[in-house]
Amino acid sequence: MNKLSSLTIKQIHQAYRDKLLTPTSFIDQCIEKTKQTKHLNAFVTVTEEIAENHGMESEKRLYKDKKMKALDGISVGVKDNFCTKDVPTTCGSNMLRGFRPAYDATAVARLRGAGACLLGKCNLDEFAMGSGTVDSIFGPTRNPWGYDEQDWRITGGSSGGSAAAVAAGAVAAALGSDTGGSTRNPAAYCGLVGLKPTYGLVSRYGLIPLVNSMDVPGILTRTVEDAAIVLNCIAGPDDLDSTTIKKEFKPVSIKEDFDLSNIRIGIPKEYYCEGMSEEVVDTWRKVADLLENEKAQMRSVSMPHTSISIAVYSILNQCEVASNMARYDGLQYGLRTDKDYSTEELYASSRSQGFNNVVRSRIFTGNYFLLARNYEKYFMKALKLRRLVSDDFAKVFDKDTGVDILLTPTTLSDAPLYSEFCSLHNRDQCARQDYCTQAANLAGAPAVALPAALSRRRLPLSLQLTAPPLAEDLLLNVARQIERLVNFPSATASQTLEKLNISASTLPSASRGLLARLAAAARGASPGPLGPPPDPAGLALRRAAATAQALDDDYQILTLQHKIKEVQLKINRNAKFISSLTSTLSEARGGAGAGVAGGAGGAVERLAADLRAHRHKLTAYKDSADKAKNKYSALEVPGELEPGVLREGCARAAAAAAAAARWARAAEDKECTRRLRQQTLKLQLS
Amino acid sequence: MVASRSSGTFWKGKATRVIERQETDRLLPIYPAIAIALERLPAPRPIAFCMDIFDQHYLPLHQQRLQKKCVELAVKTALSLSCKVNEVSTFDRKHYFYADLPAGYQITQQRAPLASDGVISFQVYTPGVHKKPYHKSSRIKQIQLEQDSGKSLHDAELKRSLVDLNRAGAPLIELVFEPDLEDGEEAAALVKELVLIVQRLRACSGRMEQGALRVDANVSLHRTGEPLGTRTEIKNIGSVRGVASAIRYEIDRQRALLQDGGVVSQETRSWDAVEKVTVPMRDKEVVQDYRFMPEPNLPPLRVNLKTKEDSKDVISVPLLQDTIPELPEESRKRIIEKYRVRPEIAIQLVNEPVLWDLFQGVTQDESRDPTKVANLLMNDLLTVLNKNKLEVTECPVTTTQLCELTDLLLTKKINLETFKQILNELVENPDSERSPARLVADKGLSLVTDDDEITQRCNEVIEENPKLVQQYKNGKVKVFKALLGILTKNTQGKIDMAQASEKLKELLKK
Repeated sequence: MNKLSSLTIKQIHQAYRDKLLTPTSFIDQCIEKTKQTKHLNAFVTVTEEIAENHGMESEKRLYKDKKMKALDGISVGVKDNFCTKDVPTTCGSNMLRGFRPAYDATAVARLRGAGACLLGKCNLDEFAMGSGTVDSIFGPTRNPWGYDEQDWRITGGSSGGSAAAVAAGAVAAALGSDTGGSTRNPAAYCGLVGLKPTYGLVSRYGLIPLVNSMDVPGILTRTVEDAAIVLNCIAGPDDLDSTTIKKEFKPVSIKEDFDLSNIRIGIPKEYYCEGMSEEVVDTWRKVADLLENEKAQMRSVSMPHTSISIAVYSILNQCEVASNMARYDGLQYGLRTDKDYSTEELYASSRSQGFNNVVRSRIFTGNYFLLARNYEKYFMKALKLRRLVSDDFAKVFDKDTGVDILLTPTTLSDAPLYSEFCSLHNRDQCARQDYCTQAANLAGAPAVALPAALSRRRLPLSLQLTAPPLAEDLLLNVARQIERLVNFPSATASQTLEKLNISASTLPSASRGLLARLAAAARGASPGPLGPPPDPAGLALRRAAATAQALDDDYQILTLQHKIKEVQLKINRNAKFISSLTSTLSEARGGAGAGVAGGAGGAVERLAADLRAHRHKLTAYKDSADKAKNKYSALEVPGELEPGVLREGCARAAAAAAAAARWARAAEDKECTRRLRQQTLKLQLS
Repeated sequence: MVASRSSGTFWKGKATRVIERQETDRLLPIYPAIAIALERLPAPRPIAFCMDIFDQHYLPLHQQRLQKKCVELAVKTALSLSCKVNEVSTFDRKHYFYADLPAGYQITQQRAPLASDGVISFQVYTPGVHKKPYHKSSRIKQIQLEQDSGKSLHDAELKRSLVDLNRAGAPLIELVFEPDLEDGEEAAALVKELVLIVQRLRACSGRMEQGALRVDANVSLHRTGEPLGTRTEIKNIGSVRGVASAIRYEIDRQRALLQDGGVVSQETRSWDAVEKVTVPMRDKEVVQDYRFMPEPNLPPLRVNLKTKEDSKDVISVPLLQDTIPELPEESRKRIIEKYRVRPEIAIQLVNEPVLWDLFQGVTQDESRDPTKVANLLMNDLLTVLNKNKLEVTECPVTTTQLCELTDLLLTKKINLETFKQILNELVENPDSERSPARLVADKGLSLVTDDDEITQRCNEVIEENPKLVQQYKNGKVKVFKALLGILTKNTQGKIDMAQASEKLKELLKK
């Protein structure tokens, strides 16, 4: 059963066709998985019932209508900042607690249209502001890789919940959102493929905005091909989003025999930066060598504005955040405090209680940048610099003199420990985590993060490919070739076994020996670092540091000013509050029967709880009846038969299911043995 | 006289002509900002800033779209006011916290508006105020597309505030004018003209009472040759006459203030139509920093200025130019020049769309004398409507009925009295199916033009009034009128009096 959680979409579909697996049983197992991996905190909401219904619909299409859609019976998770009809959508914030949208986001609707089964909503940093999935009202999400109850590793963010759900095997694919690397960063830390499509290729409609001009729905899967399949389902023009590209979308097709020999691959030297771990640089170099062996044309290229892009990103991000967050006023939805002396008071208290520190400080800074007297100084300048960063990409991708694709690291290291990550300020976390990823957002270019190797700590290391806008086909085909070349140990490695809490010692000795050799091979070739950073890059870095310092100073002053204001406001508020409290107190002094009323209230509550339990049981009964009926109909037993026959039919169905499961296990074992054998063969050959 | 002024945001380096008025040395540039509310189409058709009432539930993500229809109406309005339509215009967010603004910002076009540099020409003529109409024009600074906000309602008794979000997010066309007007009547005339224009364009109903067209008036006083004085802005004006009254009040208020040595403070005031005063608005006092930012969800709006090719995403301005109907000022000019209708009549006729439509309908057949038709409409139809206490817009008489009735009169089948009587009948008992000719026949009101019958009627009068006849024959010509009166009375006005008078004279000579 554990094997199921690492199957690709194609493999799952093949299993459906071979009747080794049915959508309902697969979905049941996925739900089971979410329960087993609850400690990871990948999901904010698990939509068990919805997933089961979706599974049944898929099953019907599969076995009755004999028409399988692209994602039929595939379990998916959706980041909790995509609107989902009647399913709570919180953005990980108090501000939207209890908010149930009345419609699906376009990306979600298209997934559903392709037959996908929605398993739940995934955790994220509040309003997707962060790069660790540690700032959510639902608590941090934990990385399944190298999990330790005491000090676990972060998933990266902000789509960490989606990444953890895919990595843990609870879903086959998940939607994230990518504003500065929020899909690629967690993909990197969780050993997944994380795709950020071209800006405008996938509709943002229903994606609660962070930075409208950079937000892109992202895709997290275990393989490149899965990412392509999901992309093909959700991409394309949408009338509901004016910023989607109007041109019709040409589906991506992955060619296993894709020829790398005519592909020019650029290595931008500016991406080598201070703080990048040696292992990352090694992997970068190693993969570049692998590509060169495949006759790809490797070139060193320069993107001189890389180092400023993080500051530009930070300013634009905060400005749009300040604007987008203005709608959360506590009047129309979400949290509303009871401070209703005046509308202003209500706004202030709702917003200060509803948002966490990170969100509030970004709103505050953004509004500062947008003031009439600062607009030219910060916002306009940032826009101009954004143009320069974007021009860097245009130049480097020039048809005649440039390259077709860029190869860079995704993150500076493997997944940090929660404790070390949380010792940094959110702003510094983001500046470090987003260093390699955010420039693609400024330029609107598509990029994909894909696992390339395991670090010494047995954690995934990731590389990023960036292509010109709308070159997803090229991007994913090159990514597929790298995936093939690096042969990242996705399902057979000891890591996965560890992740699944299976000790290597329980395995047959032959397998253990094989694993040891695999690990040795993975550690094998490790060339030296790329060399010292060239001078211009160092200069640019220093300049960026100076800018950051200046910004930081401004920020500190502002924070202090803000605090003074806040304290004054609090003093005033408290004074008002105390005066109203004293008057209420004197009024309420007479009534002492409150305790008795409380007791009565308790009885009512118990009754309500009982009622709820009964109702729950009832729905459970109904569900199992429905399921039985569904299986029954799938077997095509005529409807007019007597109940006795129904029982018989059910028994037959159960027997058939058991047989199917047996077969599935047998098939898995065979598949596993076959793969192990292949790998042994390969190792022997090499 | 030219008053030059220092360049400010509103009046960059342009001199504005102001006319000296005798009773005061303070001149009054007035410039209204007018917002035209467009209809909200039902979602989820792609509408202008689409956001229907149900969307309030799921606003956090609501993404605005621009609707073609809305851009078309704005472009047509701009063309009608001879504005320069900009090939590329952009949208901005204007931020402020107010309960009637659910998104926390309003989408507007602050930096690059849809159109700019237009002019509106109109006639100023308020019967009772002006003896003669005069021509006036005002420059338009820019025309922009905006989102409407909701409406806050304060319940003072229960101490609660309510917000009506029906209009929130609906499209608006905003027109900003240069300070070219000098008094309330001119402003009212401008607004009236604009109402007529948008009605002809079918852009909106133009009803100020319903908020379909809203006017904020800026008023400032200054001495000739000096820079403009501090301005105040008047909001909540609910009718065209309200524009005139509010501005008149504000001018008087500012003048009194200045004459007493006071200072006008820059503020927003609200027009109280009941008390007929302007009062300061409490919550708009603070100077706001709107933190403008380009709207990231709406790409720049491009229009095709060169060819007549219309596509899904780019509208053709020349194509729209062809659809602009005759504008009110052109109509006036046409009927004054072509039919020699008096300017006063022409203004009133064009200013009442119902009358104008009737006029157009009746004079389509060129045989009907336009001057006479205009007079019939302005005098007789209006009188009948007044008598029945009906607004012009409630006039139940159809064009077909009026054509028929006018023909009866012009071909002398009935006389003016009968015309009025039938008109009254049609207004009192509205029925668009009724034929005036049948009515005339049924009531036996047809004008008698038969020579023999007229002769007989005349002879009857002569025979019955020997005394008067004798007096007439003795040279007392005055009594002829008395005889004619008797004849009218006897025949209940049903005979052609011109013909009858000739006949009577002839018979009396015998």
